[in-house]
Amino acid sequence: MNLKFVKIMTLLAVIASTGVAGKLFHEHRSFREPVVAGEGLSSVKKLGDYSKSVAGTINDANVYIFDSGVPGGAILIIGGTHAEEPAANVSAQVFTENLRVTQGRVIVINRINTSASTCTRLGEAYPRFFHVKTPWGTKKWRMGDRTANPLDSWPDPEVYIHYPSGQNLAYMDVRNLNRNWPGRPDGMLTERTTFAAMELIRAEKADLTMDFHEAELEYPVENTIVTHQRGNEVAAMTSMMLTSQTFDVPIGMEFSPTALHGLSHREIGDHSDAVSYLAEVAEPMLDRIRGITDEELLMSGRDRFVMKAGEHKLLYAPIDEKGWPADKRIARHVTTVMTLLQVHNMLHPDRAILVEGIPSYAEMIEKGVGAFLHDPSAAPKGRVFYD
Amino acid sequence: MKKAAIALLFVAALAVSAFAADVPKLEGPYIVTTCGQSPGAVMIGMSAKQAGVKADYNNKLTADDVKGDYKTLIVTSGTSMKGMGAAGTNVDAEIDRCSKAIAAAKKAGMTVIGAHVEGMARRTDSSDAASIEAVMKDADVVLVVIDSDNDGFFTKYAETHKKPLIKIKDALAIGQVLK
Amino acid sequence: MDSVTLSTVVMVLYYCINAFFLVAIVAGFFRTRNAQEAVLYGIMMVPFVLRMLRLK
Ligand SMILES: [Zn+2]
Repeated sequence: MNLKFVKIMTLLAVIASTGVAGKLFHEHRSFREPVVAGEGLSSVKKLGDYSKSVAGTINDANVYIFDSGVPGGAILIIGGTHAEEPAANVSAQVFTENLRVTQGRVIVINRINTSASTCTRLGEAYPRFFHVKTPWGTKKWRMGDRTANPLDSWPDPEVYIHYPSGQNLAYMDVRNLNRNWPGRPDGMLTERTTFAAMELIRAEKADLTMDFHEAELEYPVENTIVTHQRGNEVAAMTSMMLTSQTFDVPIGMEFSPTALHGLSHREIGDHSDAVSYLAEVAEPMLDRIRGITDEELLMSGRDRFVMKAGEHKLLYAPIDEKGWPADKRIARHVTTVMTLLQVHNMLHPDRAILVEGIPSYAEMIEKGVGAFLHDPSAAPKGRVFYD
Repeated sequence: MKKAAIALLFVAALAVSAFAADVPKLEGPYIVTTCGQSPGAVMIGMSAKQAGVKADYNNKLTADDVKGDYKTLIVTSGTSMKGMGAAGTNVDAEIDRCSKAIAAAKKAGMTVIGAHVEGMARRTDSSDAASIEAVMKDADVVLVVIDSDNDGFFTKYAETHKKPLIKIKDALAIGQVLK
Repeated sequence: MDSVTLSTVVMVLYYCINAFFLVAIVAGFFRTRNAQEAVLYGIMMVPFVLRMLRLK
């Protein structure tokens, strides 16, 4: 065969495949997620407003502030810690899009590690986007990775030494937001992000923080609230009430280990006056033994391999042919915060936080979460933001 | 058929009455601890508080702490790796601590309740099993929530060891039975 | 020198290395007289180009 012909064909193939792959990667990295802030919004700040160390970076996230103007407490709701756990950031967004606060303040960050949402895990063939059906059309989000994008934070150290504890962690955990609390202003990107969030928590005098997550069913810390020791009583009551009155699958509670550093439930409580909580819900797509990894699995939470493992009693959460649909995962997170607030208000009436407009667990299960997300093209000007 | 139904009814009635007769009257004030650093004790404490029952909880209760006017000791079983990590202990040390506290309570004439109130999530591994066995073998009464007895483990345990069993809907309902 | 500056230096060096290999592969592609090798060079080029353009 003619050598020149082969070379030209190869070059064309290289240009085509680089072009297609590049376009797909670029589309994922540059897609902006519209957010229609709820009526009760008072202002939108940036994480960079609290610490210059993240200003202008990809992790300079929107901070949605809902201030009732009535004295009371404040809660910070954190979504998107691990961008491969999509129920976490959609749950935060259900608050952002529907909140009305009648006492105290609610502060929401939908995507605290934006960088992590601009790439997916290498070699895992994750979908790039996920979608939720709504009455007005389909809403789209970036599917992400557990850790920040190496394009934004690179290289990783040989061993990641957590600041300030000095605890040794795996190299890639330097990009894992939930191993970087309380952060530092002159560290790597993820450390600077948590530092800015700590500055926010201190500046806004938050009473409590909630960090949303999802976890594989093979992991023992599942369907539970992990709490800083100052939150033991509130978390215990919350978990008992939800298990008794609302959820079909119980939600447990775990004490935050004192010697395990970098985690939000430990460090936020240790380095501020806020009581830190973290909520986990089951997501079958995160299980190593799952089958085809596509958007269908991500949203339905149905997988026959994970189910099989359940039949053999190898899992820490129940699963049947109904799976763990995203609506249910999100409804659990949202309702956990609502119950947490209810208990917090009971035990700390002087720092009460009263909110309205948030759908109930039953409503979210019945109508789907999409019913509570709003159409950016129909929203009043000035209420649409991009994460 | 009819005969069988009547027999069944009779057995059921017998079971209930036997059950009722065997359960000693629960009396406060209560002191609650956990064998395995799970939040069970905090939960019982909060549920009791809500029901207006006096119950103190102490996750690190020792034999020396079992004093004062407490009438009943409740020990929750099932373990938490995170919790034991937080407290810097392990399941063997936990069993040792709780066995001594139970012995002290018995010596003081207190009733000892062995409890399991966090459902199947605390019945997954060998640590859970060890903690359950250690607590239940010395307990006067077994107190569990329905979700902990999904597989009938505690029903069978109470039957074979002839211990009265109190089974309640969920952890939130504990306060009411302690009244 | 603190770790962040050090990382930045390493990153710059990394992109230099990346560019060096990309140039070497492209040169190899044009120089080779073997069709199979040319295709191989072509396949190897893709990730280096994507990295150079900071797309992946
Ligand atoms: Zn997570």
